[in-house]
Amino acid sequence: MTAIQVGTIQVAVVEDDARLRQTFIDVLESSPEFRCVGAFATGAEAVDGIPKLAPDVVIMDVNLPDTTGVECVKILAPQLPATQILMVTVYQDPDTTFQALAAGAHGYLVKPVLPERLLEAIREIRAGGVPMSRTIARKVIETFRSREAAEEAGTFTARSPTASPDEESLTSREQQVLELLVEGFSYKEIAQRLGISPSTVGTYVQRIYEKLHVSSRREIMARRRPGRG
Amino acid sequence: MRAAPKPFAVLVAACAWCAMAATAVADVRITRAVVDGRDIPIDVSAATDVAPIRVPSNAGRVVFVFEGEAGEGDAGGANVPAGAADGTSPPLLPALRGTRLRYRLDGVDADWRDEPAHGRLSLIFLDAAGSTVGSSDAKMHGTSEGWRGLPETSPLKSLSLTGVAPPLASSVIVNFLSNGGDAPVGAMAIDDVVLSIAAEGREPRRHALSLDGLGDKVHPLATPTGWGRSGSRGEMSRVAVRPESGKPILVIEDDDASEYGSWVSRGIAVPVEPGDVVTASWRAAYSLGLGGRSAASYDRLEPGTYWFRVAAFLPGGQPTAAEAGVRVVVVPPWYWRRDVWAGCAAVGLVAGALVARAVSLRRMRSRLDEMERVHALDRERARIARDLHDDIGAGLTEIAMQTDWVRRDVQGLASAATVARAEKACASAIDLVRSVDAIVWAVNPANDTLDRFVPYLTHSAEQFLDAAGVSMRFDVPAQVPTLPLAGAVRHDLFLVVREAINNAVKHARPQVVRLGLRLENGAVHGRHANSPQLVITIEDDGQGFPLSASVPGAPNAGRSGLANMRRRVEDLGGRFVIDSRPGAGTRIEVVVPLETDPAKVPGLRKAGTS
Repeated sequence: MTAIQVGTIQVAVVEDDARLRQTFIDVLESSPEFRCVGAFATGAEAVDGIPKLAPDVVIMDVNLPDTTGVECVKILAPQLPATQILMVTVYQDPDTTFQALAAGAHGYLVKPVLPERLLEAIREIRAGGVPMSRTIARKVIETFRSREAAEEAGTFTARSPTASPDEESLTSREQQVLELLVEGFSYKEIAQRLGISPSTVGTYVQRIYEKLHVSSRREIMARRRPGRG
Repeated sequence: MRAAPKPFAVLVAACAWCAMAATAVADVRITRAVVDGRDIPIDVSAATDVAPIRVPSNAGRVVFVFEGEAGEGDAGGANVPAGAADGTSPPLLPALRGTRLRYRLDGVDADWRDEPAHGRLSLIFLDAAGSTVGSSDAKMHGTSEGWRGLPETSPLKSLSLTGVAPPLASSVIVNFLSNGGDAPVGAMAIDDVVLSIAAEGREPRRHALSLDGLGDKVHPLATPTGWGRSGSRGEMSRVAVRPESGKPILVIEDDDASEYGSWVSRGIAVPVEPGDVVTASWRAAYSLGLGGRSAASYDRLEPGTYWFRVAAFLPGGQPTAAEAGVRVVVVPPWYWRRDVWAGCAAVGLVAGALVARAVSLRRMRSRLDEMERVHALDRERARIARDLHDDIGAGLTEIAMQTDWVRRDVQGLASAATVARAEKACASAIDLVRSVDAIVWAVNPANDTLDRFVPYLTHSAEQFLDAAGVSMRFDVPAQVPTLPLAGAVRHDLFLVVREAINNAVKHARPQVVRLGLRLENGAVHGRHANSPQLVITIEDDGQGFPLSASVPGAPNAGRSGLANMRRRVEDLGGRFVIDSRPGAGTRIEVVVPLETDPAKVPGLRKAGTS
C-alpha cells in the first residue's frame, strides 16, 4: 500500500447503491490525487461517520434510503466548515438541488457522473470554483425577494441583532450577476458584459452562496425555536 | 421524532415467567386524524368509544396517526425458549412485548395491514487494523413467504449478496441486524451463512460460517464460536433450535422500534484481497413491520360509516389484546340526505326530485369510482417510477460510468474504432439515463403543476446547451402560477421542446438558442374558450432551412421529427407553428391550452409556492 501523499484530497462518498458506491471509490482511488477515506450507504451512517473523518470533500447522493441528502447537508455543513459537499442528483430536479445548495452544499453533479467529470468537479470546487446554473439563480433571486417581502411585512423577524444587513442582503452588483445568469448568460459572457474577469464573476457567485447559507441557517435555527425571536 | 418507549423489562427470568400469564396491557392509541390537512385530535385508547370523526364526502384524504407503547408485563408467551419447553427450568428470556402495530379500516380493508420494514445482512470489509473500509448490504423486506409467526418454525428461503473488496480490505465479516434504516419491529432468523471468495487467477474459496460450540442443550443466550451479539440492545439476538432438524439458527427478535439487535461474525474474519468478489449466501425467514408511531392514509372515502382500528402484535405477528378503534362517518352531500328529499316531496316536487336524485347519485358514484381508479393508478405509477429509478436508472448510470472508464483505459492502446465503440456505448447509456429521468419525472404526480414544469424545462435545456457549447437566452416570467398540468401533457411538452432544441443544435449550428415561455389569455379552439394558454418559443440564429422541405413525407431525413412534434402538440389541443428560411434561423412556437380545473387533472396535489 502506498503512503498517503501530502496534499491528497480526502473524499468521503455517500451513495446507497452498492455498485455505484464501489465505482465512485474505484474512480477516486484510480488517481493518486484523491483518496476515498469513507463510504456510506445511509444518511444515518454518514451523519455519524463523516464528522470523525473530516474529509476535504463529500460526494453526497440526493436520494438515500433513510433520509435525503439535503437533510444530511443540513446536519454536516455547520459541523464541517472546511469540508466541501458535492451533491449527486438523479432526477434533473432543480428544487432539491437548490435546497441542498441553500443548506450548505458547494456544488452538484447530475448522474450519470462520468469518471473524469467527477474528478474534475472535485478539483474545481477545491480550487474555489462554484457553479450556479440559470435555474438555480432564478430560485436564489426568488428566495431573497420573498425573504425581503416577509421582513417588510414583519412576518420574518429572526434577523440576529449582531448581523449587519450587508452580511445577508445582495449588493447591486451581485443582483446584476444573478439577473444576467437568469437570462441565460454564461460566466464568460457576464464577465464580458460587465468588463470584469470570469473569476471575478465566480467570486460574486461565491459571496451570493455565502449569504444564502447564512440566512438559511438562521432560518433553520428560527424554525427550531418556535415562538421565539 | 419517535417517542422513546419505556425501557425493556429487567432481565429477570422469574418476572418474565409471571408476566407471560398476565394479560397484555400494551397501550395503543389513535392520537389524531388529519382531514385534508385539518388536524382533529382524538386520543382513543383501548376499547373506549368516543364520538365518531365526521368527514365531509368531498374530503380528499384522511390520515390517522397512531402510536403504541409496551406496558409492563405485556406478553404473549411467544418466545418460550427451547431449554424451558419442559416447564421444569425457569424461562431464560424476557417475554416479548406487543409493539408491532397493524391497522385496518373496516369497510375498506379486508385484513390487518402491516407497514413492511427492513432488516439487513451486510458484508463488512475490514483493513489490517480492523477498521471498516467498505460494506455491501442486502435488505430483507416485509415478511418472507410461509412465515408462521416464529423464526424457528418458518420456512427458510435462500438469499445472496455480492460485494467487491475495496482497496485496503484485508478481511470480511458478516453483520446480520434488525435495522434497515426504517426502525423495524419483528423477528428474523438466518442459517447456513457461506462466504465464497472469487478472484482472477485463484481457485474460489468457500467459508461456511457455522454455528459451533453451543453444546448439547442450547441456551437461547449462548454464543456460537466466532459470532458476537451486537446492536443497540444485543439481548434481542438469540439462538434457537429448529425442531425439524435439531440445527441451531441465529435469531433476532426486535420488539423496540428505537433499538436494534445484531449478530456479527467478528471472530471469523475471512481473509480477502482488494478486488476479490465476495458472495454471501444464507437462508432466512423474517417478518418485519413498524412499531412506535405510524400513520395510515385513505383517499376519497365514499359516504358511509367506517371503523378504523389499530392493534398491537408481537414481533412475529401474533395478536395481543391491545386494540384501539374509532368510528369514522363520511357525511354524504346534502342532496343525498333523505330529509332534504322529504322536504322536496312536501312541496310537490317528488317526481322531478327523484329523477334528479337518480342522476346525481349515479354521477356521484361514477365520479367516486373514477377518483378511486385515478388514485390507484397514481399509486401504481409512483411505484413503477420508483422501480425504474432504483433499478434501471442506477444500472444504466453504472454502465455509463464503466464504459467511459473503458474508453479512457483503451485510449491510445486500442484502435480508433474500438475507442469510438466505447464512446458510443457510453453515449447511449447517458441518453437512456436521461430518458428514464424524464419518464420518472413525468409520472410523479407531485410534479403535476406548471410551476414545477418550468424550472424542470429550463434546467434540462441549459444542461443540454451547456454540454453542446451553445449560448442561450431565457425569457421566462419570474413567477409562474401553480396551474395544474397533467403528467402526459408535461411529458409531451418536454419532449417537443427537447426535440426542438436538439434539432437546432444538430442541424442549424447556431450561436444562440432562445427559449421563451409566457402565459396568455384566450382560446386556441372553441372548447377551451377563456382558459389560459401556455406559449413556448424556441428560436435559433443558425442556418435555417426551406420550409417546403419539411412537409410530412418529404425526403428530409434530418427534420422528420417535425411531423412528430406537430402531432404531439395538436393531440394536446394546441398549435404548432414553425418559421424558417435558409440563412435566417428557425423559430418554433408551441401554444397549448391549460386545463384550470384541478379536479380534472389526475393525481394533482396542492403545491405550495416553496
